[in-house]
Amino acid sequence: MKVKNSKIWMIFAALLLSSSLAAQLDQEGFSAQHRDTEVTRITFENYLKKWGGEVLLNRFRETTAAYKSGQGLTIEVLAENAHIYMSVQGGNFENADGEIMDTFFTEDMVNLQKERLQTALKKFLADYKSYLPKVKSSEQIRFVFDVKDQTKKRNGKELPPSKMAHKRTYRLEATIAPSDFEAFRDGKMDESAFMKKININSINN
Amino acid sequence: MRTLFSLALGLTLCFNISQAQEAVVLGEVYQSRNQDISQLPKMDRDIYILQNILNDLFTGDRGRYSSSRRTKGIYVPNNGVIFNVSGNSVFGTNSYQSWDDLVLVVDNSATKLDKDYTEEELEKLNNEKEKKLTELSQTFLANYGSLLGELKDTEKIQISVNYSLHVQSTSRKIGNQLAFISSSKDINKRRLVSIVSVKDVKDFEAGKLSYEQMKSKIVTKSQDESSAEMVDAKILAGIFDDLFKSAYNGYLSRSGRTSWTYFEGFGLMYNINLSSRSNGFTLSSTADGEVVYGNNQTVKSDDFYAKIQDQYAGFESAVKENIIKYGRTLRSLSANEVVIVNLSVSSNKRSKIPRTIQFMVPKSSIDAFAKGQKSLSQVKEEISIKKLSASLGGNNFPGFFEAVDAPALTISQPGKLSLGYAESDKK
Repeated sequence: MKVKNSKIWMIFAALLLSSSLAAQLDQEGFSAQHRDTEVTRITFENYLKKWGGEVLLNRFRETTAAYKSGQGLTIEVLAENAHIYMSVQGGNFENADGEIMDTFFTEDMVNLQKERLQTALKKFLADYKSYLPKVKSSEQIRFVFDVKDQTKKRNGKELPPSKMAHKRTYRLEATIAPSDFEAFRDGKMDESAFMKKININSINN
Repeated sequence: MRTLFSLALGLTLCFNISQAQEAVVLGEVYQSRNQDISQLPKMDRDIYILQNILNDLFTGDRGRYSSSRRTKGIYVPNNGVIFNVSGNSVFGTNSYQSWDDLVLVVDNSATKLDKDYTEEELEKLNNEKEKKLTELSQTFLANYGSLLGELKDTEKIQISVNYSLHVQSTSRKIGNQLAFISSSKDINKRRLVSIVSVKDVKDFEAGKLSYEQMKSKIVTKSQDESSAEMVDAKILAGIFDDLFKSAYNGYLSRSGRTSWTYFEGFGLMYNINLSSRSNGFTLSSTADGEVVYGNNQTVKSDDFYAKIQDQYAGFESAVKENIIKYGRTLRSLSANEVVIVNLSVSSNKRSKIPRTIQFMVPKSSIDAFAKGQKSLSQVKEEISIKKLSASLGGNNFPGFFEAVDAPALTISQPGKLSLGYAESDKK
């Protein structure tokens, strides 16, 4: 008898997470930074999934968080390009096929996508500034959106990307200096000034 | 660029993006998942965030829409915070099993169930499950309890996990495979309750306690829910069933039975679902404008919803009175505990009835009314009300709330149906 159900693996994953956290608590005791890093990861992912502002052109799949001494905090979100649903004569047709995606995701659309991701991130930072972990002044706080098409498979084989998929495959990185963030969090810098301090780069993969 | 965007939308393309923007309009029922918690008080924000942490910790809910309806937290002044983890959500759900089910899928060639669990194996499975749920609860309380920075040292944090024990397995075909499903629906329901004082959480945060010491401070016990005996609580649930059979002058009616949960040291919580759908009110567009059908009448929608809004204050007042009057029958509650009544309402957004209304009253206030030390109106003033603009779904345990644009507090004329108006509001 073999265990194949994905739910079992989810259970194991959850228990593994719990066990590793329990092990960390056993060895190191309480860590506010560890707590706040996890809080930021989970809260940011939920924030994006429940975003009620202007439509984001992404599906948010998975968020990871890592703190490395000397480098700082990195929160990375897998932000797949939105699928497209089309109402056609036979009913609703869902097929994010390459041609449709290539037609829809023009340069303007990708720019709009980036603009809205930035808007969501900035609002998150404003709303949840008191929950982010503290990092050293020599380190950085980075939020990364890993934007790409969802991988499609047919008959177990991965389908090749569409012709224009590379145009909408990129990493949007926002880097924040801890000193700026602390000034903003503590009310010494206003929101508008802080947002201008965020360094945003789009890197094509 | 914007033109292109509009054009694309005009071509009826829509995006399967995050489910965040999902809004469902089903006849009279409107539900929205949008929530803006940025303006919530810090306590409610902290609780909301911790609900998501619990979802993540208990469900491994990565990459999916994580609904905060699965795990709910609530602050009870002077007692602390309770988190309730729903049994139907932990480790996810799907169409053929609940989280409590243990599913083993065998090779495609298998056609019949050829192995049952022995009693010993089941006992081992159940012990393992309880041990792991205990560990998860302890980890949560130790690592994340300190986020609730506004709690007083004398208050407590409780996490309550609903689960059920495995019973003998059954087999079922899933696709072309055979699955052994060990599950339990209504029998062997249990609740694992873990509770810790805020002072201990703070001591652990400050390094005054090791993790081992912290764990020893967490009191955990497993309760058999199916044999839970609180006759007075059951009787009150029956009374609520009758009272809410038809409410809001016939606009709302109860769907499902009133459920209740007792949280030791915190109080008794009732959950009641109300809906306008079952009464047949439907909103339609006609050549003459929008109208609402119902009760064999057709009313212009603006007039209809204006009337509904006018009636809200009377409804709220009536609910308060009934909680106080019938709450007197609760003899098993301590004076320092509370009675909480959560109403989940499904109705058209235009009715402006909050999706969830929570009434909370100290048992001591009800006792004071019973002894004639306080008047009905005095105790009504002591009932705290919170309103939530989004529905929490059927398995409700409202946690965080925000102010909503509830109807103005105007009292309209008494109606013929129960719970439309409070006695004291009638003239």
